[in-house]
Amino acid sequence: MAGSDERAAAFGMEEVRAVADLARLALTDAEAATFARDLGRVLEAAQALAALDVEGVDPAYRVGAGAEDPALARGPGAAQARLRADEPGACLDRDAVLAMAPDRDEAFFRVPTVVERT
Amino acid sequence: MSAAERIDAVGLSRALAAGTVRSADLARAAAQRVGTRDGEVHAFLAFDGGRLEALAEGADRTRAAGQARPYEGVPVAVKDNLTTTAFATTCGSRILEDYRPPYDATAVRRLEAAGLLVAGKTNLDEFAMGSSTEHSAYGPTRNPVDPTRVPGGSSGGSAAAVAAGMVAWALGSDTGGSVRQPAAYCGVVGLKPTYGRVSRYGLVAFASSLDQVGTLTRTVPEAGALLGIVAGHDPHDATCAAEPVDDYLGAAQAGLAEGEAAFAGRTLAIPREAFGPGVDPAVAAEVEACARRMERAGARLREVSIPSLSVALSAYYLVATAEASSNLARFDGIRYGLREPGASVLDTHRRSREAGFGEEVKRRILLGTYALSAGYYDAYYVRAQKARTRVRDDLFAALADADALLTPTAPDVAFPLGAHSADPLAMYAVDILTVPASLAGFPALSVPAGRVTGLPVGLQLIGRPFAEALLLRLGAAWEAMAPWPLPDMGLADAATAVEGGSR
Amino acid sequence: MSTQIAPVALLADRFEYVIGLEVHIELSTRTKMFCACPVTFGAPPNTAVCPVCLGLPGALPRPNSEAVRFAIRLGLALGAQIRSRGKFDRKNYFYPDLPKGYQISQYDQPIVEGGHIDVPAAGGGVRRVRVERAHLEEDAGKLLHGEGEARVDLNRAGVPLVEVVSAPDLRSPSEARAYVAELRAIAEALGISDVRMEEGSLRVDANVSIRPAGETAYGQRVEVKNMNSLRSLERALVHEGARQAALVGAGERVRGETRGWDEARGVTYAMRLKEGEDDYRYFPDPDLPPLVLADDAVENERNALPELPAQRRSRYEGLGLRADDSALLAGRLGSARYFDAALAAGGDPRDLATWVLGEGSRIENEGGPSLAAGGLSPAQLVRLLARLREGAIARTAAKGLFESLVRDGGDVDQRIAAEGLAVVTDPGALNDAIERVLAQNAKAVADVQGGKDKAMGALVGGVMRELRGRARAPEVEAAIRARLGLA
Repeated sequence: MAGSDERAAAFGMEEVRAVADLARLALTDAEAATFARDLGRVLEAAQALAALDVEGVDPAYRVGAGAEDPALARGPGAAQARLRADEPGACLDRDAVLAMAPDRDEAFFRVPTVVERT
Repeated sequence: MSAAERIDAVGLSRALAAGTVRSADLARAAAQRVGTRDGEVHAFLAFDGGRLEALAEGADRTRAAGQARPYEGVPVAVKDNLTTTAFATTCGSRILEDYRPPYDATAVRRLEAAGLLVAGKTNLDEFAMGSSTEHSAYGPTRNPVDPTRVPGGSSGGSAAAVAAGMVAWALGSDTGGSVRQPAAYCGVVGLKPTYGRVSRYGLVAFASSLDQVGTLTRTVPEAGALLGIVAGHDPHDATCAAEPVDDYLGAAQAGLAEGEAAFAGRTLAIPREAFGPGVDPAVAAEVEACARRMERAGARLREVSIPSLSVALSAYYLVATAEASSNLARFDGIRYGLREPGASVLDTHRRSREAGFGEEVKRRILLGTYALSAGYYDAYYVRAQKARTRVRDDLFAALADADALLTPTAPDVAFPLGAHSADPLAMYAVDILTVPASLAGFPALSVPAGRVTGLPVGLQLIGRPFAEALLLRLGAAWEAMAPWPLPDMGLADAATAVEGGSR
Repeated sequence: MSTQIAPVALLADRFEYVIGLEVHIELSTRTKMFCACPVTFGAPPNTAVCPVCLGLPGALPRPNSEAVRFAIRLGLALGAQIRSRGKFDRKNYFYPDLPKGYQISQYDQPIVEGGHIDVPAAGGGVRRVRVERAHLEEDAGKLLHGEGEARVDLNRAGVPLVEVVSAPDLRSPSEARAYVAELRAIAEALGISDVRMEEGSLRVDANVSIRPAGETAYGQRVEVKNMNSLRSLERALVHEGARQAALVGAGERVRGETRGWDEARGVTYAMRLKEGEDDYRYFPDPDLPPLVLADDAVENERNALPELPAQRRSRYEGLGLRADDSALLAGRLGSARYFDAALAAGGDPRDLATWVLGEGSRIENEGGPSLAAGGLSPAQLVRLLARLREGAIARTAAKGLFESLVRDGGDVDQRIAAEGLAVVTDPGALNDAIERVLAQNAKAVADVQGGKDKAMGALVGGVMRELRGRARAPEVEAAIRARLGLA
């Protein structure tokens, strides 16, 4: 379908590179081209969502007992706040933790220079 | 069907208890089958026969000392996105090659607390993203029924391990169908519990509001037994439900004993959209035939329409990838995993992720990042979540006066390796029948329905939240009505000992 | 300095400040916001960590109930609305001190909304500073910069924070300082934080802009960070306002940017920002159920609210103290508690206030201990002031004794006896001393007798020195006058 490929190509290289920057992915040119095409096609298929009637519908950010339905929230096994008591628990042994690190010294993780953030 | 074929883990545990089979036998049989078949199938990323045998011998000693736990000494396989301290946990990715977690997933701890022995870690699509297990960084898994074909995904390794008779049961994970679809492709039983039924602590997150630990087993009662071991509240997981854990094994065994009688007076809702365009007509016909058999057994079939099903796939891919893009941000090469050094932190992040992630993972991270990004959040992510509410509402409505929904599990049978490599969207379409239950958080069971062109077809039963017992009962009743061949586990000697013990 | 004065004057005449503050308060809970690791200060690096706060694969957050209670308490103290059903959101960005690659925070449904803090307005009167919101979030770890590399300590990652965001209602650096001081005092009184800016348990970011006096539209705002004390906050805001005024005065535009405060050089500097850093892609955290408060959660906190600084100030003013003294005393929990204990021991409010704020502050400013931490108990201070009022000791001796006791501890009466501090009551000794002084100061005597009262001071001083301070000046003066036959 040449027509839809053209529209899909509207998800251009610049957009893909901008998204890749946000996601900390360093794409090759070939990858950027492939992904631009793929994302364009997925998003085009997702246009059907735009046509769906969602008037007055709340987004289901999560599902499960108590998640969105207040009635369920009061039932047995209700999720409610699921808050944890302020009691200290076991920590990991530092050597075990740092042993997983690609670059470390005796007590810290090490990273190359950091640009100051806001 | 011979007794050798009918052995299941429940029967095995009885035989173990009676002392007629030893755990060491099971371990040796598993190692032998892995040795003979896994070179081709590649179900396992890590299998330690020596360790398994040593553990099995320990289990036998424990049993001899009268201290055996319920499933002492039964080997189990675990998908490699569940953390284990005894094995590396790679998630099928280079970015976690050789990563050894310092803690075990709750589901794994519960297996071990019940006496089960983790035989090894199974292959998966990288970070559970895929429907064929071709996206593993460590090579694909092949379908034991036909090794030129995929086993499905992303829990392809676990499904194949069971289908090849290497283990009786395995844990997988299901986000959009990753337990059910491989079960259907491989001819085994796959169960995705209600969202929140099983703890996700230690399940490396793909899409947090969709992921669930699931079971791959040869029979329905085994699914019930395994679910009963891992289900239940876990304070480590704030999304894990406190609902009481039913006697899932008992419900399945009741169904098995009832057979046809279990369908008398039941209502099964048949969504029109699950049998129409987009589904292979031969697959649809096979599952329809199963439905008719259930009708003959006394079930009432009600055709329903669930229009929101047409957008469920798009909604799923936006929601799941959005959550995934955030969940995978922790893989930055700083504290663990692969690091590709760079001149700056930014450079290190980009290089490590570029080198460590495969193409499908990158694709989904990009899609998800875009769906959440400024200016697009409302149009894509929020809208997808609203569509999700519609799907959930529609499924609730369809189940208002039905015991379960019945659909094919997958729109096709196992496809050849490489068939969809040119077109990722064609691969996504494989999930159309499984994502609705995932979006809604409802439990769903896939059981073998028959064969098309010699390849397994699965039928899916979807229930209301926390209705696993009913699904297992109906699924086991189906198993009694239309038993499927069980993979040979190489336990011929033990067979006679357990004859009749599985019922 | 002269370059600084001119722009400030420019500011006062032509422009007004518009300041909004974001204050991060580190909560003094026992454990972190989403895991059970202990909240410690000064622990060896990377020892208070677990899979959750390390962001290991498969780990999941579990919210701290005490942190929620602390946030409710703060909201009530600010007169705000407490949201009974809210949520946590993910703020997504990459940084080495952020293990998960996102921070769990609250975006559009913060637990606290509204409220206010009143501060003295720069031109007199009261400035009501509206609080827009306060929300719960987790802290990041610490990055220690080195040569061409940096090191990461994740002990602090996951520590609970409440971020309080004010409306841009502040109109001067002094008001901003007062706002933070009050917020700090409130948090301290509530027992929810150590609120030590120098340790980082209270952090302030400011949004500063200027506009022509009388203008209602907002100017371009600049974010200022890295102010580590109240004093540097005020200095930074003064400098930044002046910098902006100078720019605008010269016809240039202020750039919207983030600037850091350099305490040593006394300037703000532009901080390097990367492109596209701002898109945090907030979305509700799917690992956490909605934050639903139990029906009685808010009432329980309301019933348990301690006396707040504003209430304490009113109470002290009711005791007859001046407004500014009340504010100073009430402003720090330690001094307020000390003062209250001294009142309970029978002390006179104004006397106590004078000594606590006078000598007490002086000693502390010179590096000595605060009264709360020092060796002079409230009851002993009351005793000391009683001895002074009775005339048992003189003021100079009392001051010396006060300082000595604060620094080293001890008992008032024992020390008076041991060091012979008691006022000389023997008339003979007094008269002897007077005789000696008069004999040595003939000119002064002549001056006094000649009507020059000013010379009396020298005579009185001389007698005081003779008696080593163990006398009271008014009595000495009266005795000298009597001796000289004066009225």
